[in-house]
This record gives sequence, structure tokens and C-alpha cells, in this order.
Amino acid sequence: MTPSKGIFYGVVVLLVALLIVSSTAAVYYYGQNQQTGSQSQEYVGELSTALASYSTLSARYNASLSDYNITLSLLAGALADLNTSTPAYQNASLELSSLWASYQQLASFSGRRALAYGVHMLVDFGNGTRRWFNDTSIQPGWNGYIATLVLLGGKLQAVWYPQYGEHLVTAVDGASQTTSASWFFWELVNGAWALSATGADQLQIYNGTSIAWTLCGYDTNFVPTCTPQVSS
Amino acid sequence: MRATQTVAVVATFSALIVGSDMALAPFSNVKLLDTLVFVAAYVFGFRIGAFVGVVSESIWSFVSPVGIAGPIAPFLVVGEILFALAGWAASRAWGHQFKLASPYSLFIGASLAVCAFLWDLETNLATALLQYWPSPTFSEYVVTAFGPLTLPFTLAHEVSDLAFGIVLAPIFILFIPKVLRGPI
Repeated sequence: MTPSKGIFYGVVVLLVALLIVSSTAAVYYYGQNQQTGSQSQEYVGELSTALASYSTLSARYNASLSDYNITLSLLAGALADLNTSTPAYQNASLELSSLWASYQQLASFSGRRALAYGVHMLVDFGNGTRRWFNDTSIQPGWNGYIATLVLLGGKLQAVWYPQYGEHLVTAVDGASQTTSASWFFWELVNGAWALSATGADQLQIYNGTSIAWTLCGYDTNFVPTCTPQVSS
Repeated sequence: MRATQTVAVVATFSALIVGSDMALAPFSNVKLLDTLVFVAAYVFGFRIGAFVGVVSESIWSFVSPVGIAGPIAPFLVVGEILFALAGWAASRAWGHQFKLASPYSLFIGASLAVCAFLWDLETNLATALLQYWPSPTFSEYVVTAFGPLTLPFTLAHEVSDLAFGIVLAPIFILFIPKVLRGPI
């Protein structure tokens, strides 16, 4: 039995119709694919631009951090030579501590630690009260005076004697000297506290340096009658 | 003394002073500056001594490793004229009879120590003036000038000037004119 002509043409028409539908779908999806490919290229371009911008931004951030570091160093250097009664000194001495903390935080955002030295400082108020600052970060290059100023958040009073290149400290952390007791500056040398012969300004601080301030009396040769007491 | 010679002497002394100040920088407040200003005035007269003091102290006020002196610099410079005056006065008093290893060496050392005391007093009072400007009190002047914290610095200055005055100044005073034989 042979299929009738009607069935044959019907099958052909159906096949042609299927061909048209599938071609239309193929053309449609081809167009969609082209459009998606084009968008992908666009996104790749945008990503490349964003990556380049990020690299530039990151480089600028690091450069700004470096400038911040240099500015802090310059500010500390300027503070070391400023008359302590000037408003510039008073403002900067209070801000230096928070600026240093802010710098360290910003440096950590860039995925690296700020280059810093760890310093240990003891403040002995002479009445049994002691305050330790253990392994506290300071900027390399700071002297004993600036390090103390930063660790105490600016709570340090002194008179600047430019002819001696020294600050003569009159109050530490809110405790002032008296007629019979003065603040003395010490350095830990070979495991023993030694009265600093040069003063805080002339003492260069290195990684691991231990310093101390003590409020105590002195004899007729201006030799202090106390030494820093590490433990009670 | 011709102008060129004056410039040469002042420049030589000033260079020697600044160089020795740098070399002695680790020893707080110990310097040859005062001794050499005194010697310059003793040997070449007050004018040259004063020039040496003004030039060298002005330079030192700005190139010192302990920092820039700033507003106190004029007080430091004026203070050096004291040493020039003392050197000139000493040469008038003992110039012709000066001998090495004699009581005159002690006199020179003592003169320098007294001048160092006056210089310290003047500059410490200036420090109080600048620190507590515009209205420093009498007690602020006293504490800043004579407080126990300043004692190690003033003692180092006065004792070193006494020692340099006794030992070095007489050698320079006798040696320099012999080296510079000829009309000056």
C-alpha cells in the first residue's frame, strides 16, 4: 500500500513548517547569543577599566600612605623643635597620637603592617602607681621625647630649651613635678635601669628599647633618690 | 688688619668652631665655641672676636644636629659677645705678661666660666620669656633659669669652659701669634 499524495504533501508541509520554526528559533537564539557575547565583551572591557582604575587607586593609596608616613615624621620633627607654649605645638602634640593610630589603621587596610618599632615604657608616679606601655608601636626615627608624647596621647608638659636641644619635662600623664620631686628619664641598659645622661630628646629609640619616667626626689648633686620599680 | 685678613680670620675661626661643635655634639653643652671666641678677641681684638662669635653662633643656631634654635637665636648670638668682651678685656689686662702654665691660665678659665654662667642665665631667661610670652611671671623666670632640671646642662657648660679656658685657651693664645708671624 502506497501512501496517498495528500499524506506525502502533509508530511512535507509539516517538515517545512518545522524547518521554518526551528530556523526562526535558531536565528533568534543566534541573535541573543551575539547580543550576550557583545555584552560580555563590554563587561570585560569595563572590568579591565575598573581593574586599571583599582590598580591606579591602590598605587595612589600606597603613595598617600607613604606621604602620610613622611608627613607624620616631619610633624614629629617639627614638634621636637617647637616652643611648647605655642598653639601649633599644643594642637599638634595632642593630635600626633591619633594621627599615628590612624596611619597604622590605614596601613592595615592595604594588607600590610606599618613599619614600626615596638617600645616599652614605664611611668612610675612615685606613689606606688605605675603605668606600663608594653610593645607599643612608634615610628622609626622618633626620639624618647616624641615617643613619650605619642604614647601618652600628648599628656606631657615641658619647657623647650633650644640652646640645650632638650625638653625639660615638668609633668607626665597629668602628674606635675613639685619643689622636691622631679621627673627623671631612664633607659634599660643590659637589664638594668640607667639614668639617661643625654635626656629624652637625645635618646634615639630602636625596636625593643625600654624607657621609664620616674617622679622622685633628688640629692644635692641632683642624683635621683629612686629607680624605676618594675613590680610592686 | 686688612679687610681680607679680617674675613680670613673670622672664616677660619668660624669653620673651626662649627666643625668642633659638630664633633662634640654627642657631649651635651660641651663646645669649643666660647673658648675660640675668647681667643679670637684676645689675639685679634674685640671687633674680630665679636665677628667670630656672631658668625659662628648664627650658623650653629641653624645647622645644629639638636635642631634649629628659632626665636632664641638672637639671644644666643648676643650672648657670645660676652666672651668677645671678656677676651678683649683679658688681653688688655694680661696681654704682655701672659705665660703658659701660670696663674693667668686659671684666670682665663675662671673668666670663661663666669661668662658661661652669664650666658646660661641670659639664654635661660630668654627661654622663659619665649615660653611664657606674653606675660611671664617672676617665678616662671626663676624656675626656668635656675630649676634643678637645667643644672646638668649649665654645669656641663661652665665646667667645660673652665677646663678649656685653663688648658686650651692659653695654648691658642701663645701659639696663634707665633704661627701668624708677620704684619697683621
